[in-house]
Amino acid sequence: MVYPPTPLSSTIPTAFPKGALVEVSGVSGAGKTEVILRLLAENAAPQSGIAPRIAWIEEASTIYPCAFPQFGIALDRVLFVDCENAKDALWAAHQVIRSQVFGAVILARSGSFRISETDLRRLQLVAEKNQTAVFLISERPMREAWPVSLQLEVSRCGDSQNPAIRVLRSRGGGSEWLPSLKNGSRAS
Amino acid sequence: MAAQPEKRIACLLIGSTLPEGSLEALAEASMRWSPQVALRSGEAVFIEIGGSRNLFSEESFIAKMRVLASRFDAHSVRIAIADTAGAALALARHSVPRIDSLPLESFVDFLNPFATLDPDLKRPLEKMLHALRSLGLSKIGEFTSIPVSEITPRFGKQACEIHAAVRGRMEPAWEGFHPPERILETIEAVAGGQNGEICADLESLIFILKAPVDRAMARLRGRAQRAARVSVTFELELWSTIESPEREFSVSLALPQGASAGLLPILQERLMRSLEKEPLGSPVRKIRFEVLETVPGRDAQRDFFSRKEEEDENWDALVARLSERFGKERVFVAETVSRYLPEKAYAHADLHSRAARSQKAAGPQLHLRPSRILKSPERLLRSGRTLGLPHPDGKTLRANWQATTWEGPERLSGEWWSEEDRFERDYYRVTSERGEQLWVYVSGEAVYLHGYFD
Repeated sequence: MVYPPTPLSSTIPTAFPKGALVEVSGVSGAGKTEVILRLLAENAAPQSGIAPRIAWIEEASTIYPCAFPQFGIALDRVLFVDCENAKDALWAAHQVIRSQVFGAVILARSGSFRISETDLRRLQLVAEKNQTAVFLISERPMREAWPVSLQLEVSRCGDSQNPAIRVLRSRGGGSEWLPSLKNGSRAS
Repeated sequence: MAAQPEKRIACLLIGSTLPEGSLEALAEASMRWSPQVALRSGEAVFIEIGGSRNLFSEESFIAKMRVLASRFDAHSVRIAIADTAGAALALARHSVPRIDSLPLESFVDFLNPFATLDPDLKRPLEKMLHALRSLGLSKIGEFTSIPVSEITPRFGKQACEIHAAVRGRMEPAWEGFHPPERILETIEAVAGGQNGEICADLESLIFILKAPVDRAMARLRGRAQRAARVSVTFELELWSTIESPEREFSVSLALPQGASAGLLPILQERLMRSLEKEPLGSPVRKIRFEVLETVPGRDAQRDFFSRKEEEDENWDALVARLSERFGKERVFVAETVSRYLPEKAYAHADLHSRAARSQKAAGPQLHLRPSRILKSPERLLRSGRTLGLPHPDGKTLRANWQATTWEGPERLSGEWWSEEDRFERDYYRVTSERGEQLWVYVSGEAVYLHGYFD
């Protein structure tokens, strides 16, 4: 067992891709949540002594808070929102982003949770306006997701603990930290 | 440069007639600046700001007081700051920059700024003013240039008192101001327009509701309190079709609110849901907003060098809004607790407690925990290397995995004293052929899926 988890990359800049949407997809157990947690832990290294707050929004939440401290994320910085349906989750994401309290917002989609292109665009605009990093977690990558700056697919090879990250698509918003992510992880 | 005097009194002289209770409410809201506040009935509010002059400039105070006064319908207000209440009142009333330029008629303001003295005071004063005018005096500056030793023999005792009051050596005692117990604000719900249409739609009602909420929250801030429970009451037009002429909505806030910016969206959310279920039977003619329960407010002094207080306000407003919509159980901050049972190894932290929100990151655990946990473990069907997750009907499989490695076990057992929670489980990290990693446990002969290393 590898403990503590190995860093995702030693060269990822200590800054969120502010104001952009990043999608991380993969099947259950592929390691996509762990990738996000590592990104949050590594990118959210407190420069001013106070780590940014994180909002974790899910429909029918299965996130396990006990995993967060393992990745070096203090639980008191994380607000969990467990929504009943996709519409509520999107509404909550907008409220959370607009509050300007959170440095990163994670919106986890279940299998049936579809976000329309219009909703994605709205989300991207509000994220951009409030300079908040928004991570979308899904089982399958979204199609026609042009407002998403970066689409990553996560999978594991064999019994490796570290997931492999494949860059499916990138737009201008994520380009500044994309090269280091490619180099640092075992991206294919 | 001469040192500033210790005492500085601000006077807000209201130029128009205010609705009943508005001046008292404005005085209450002014208590955010200083606890020493007094009223001149129906006319003016006095605030002693000398004690806090290092916190803000007089110019910024005047600007903020104008904004505050406008919330209480005091759109025509004159503000002056001087060393005594009488001087401040006289300067505000006559709109002159210096005391020396004030007319002699302002003597009455110096002697009786709080309008608490005998009304007969004016008679001897008129006599004295007549005598001064006959000598060709018209300004206070001319009066104060007369030597003190000559004032009493020539104009009497009252003139001596006025002389002392003008020079700031004498001031009547301040009457205590005690704000009313209830924070209740009322407004007529008449939409704009020449015809004075009455309101029936939520958007207009929220727009009208903003004014009383603003006023109530300003009063609360004056008391250094935040609202924990509020109520909104709609008085309806008396149509024959309605059962009750009033609809009351009581809102208990998940986190107390100190500003209307945070409270209004919560009220809007609540009203929208309630009115969707049961619309109003007739148009609203009056809205009452009342603060029913309060808690102590945040620290009175603002930290100018950090956004923390602003963030805390935003945090409270957001959490209260989300809790209002999803329920308190669904919006939470977690904290780890010392329990072996994995699904109960964390609890919801108290969102009210700042201490709970400043905990440090927990130290490393002995074993890695998965990032996903099922709400309740699901039994798996095991056949050779295959693990299958059956549908609730038991006939088909929802998912299946070809297990390649079983890493473990991590034996967890405990809570033997509780019939409900006692457990004995051997946990494994199972990797499938496709690379998925599951968290499963074996209890007796049965295998359960409990989470994913997702």
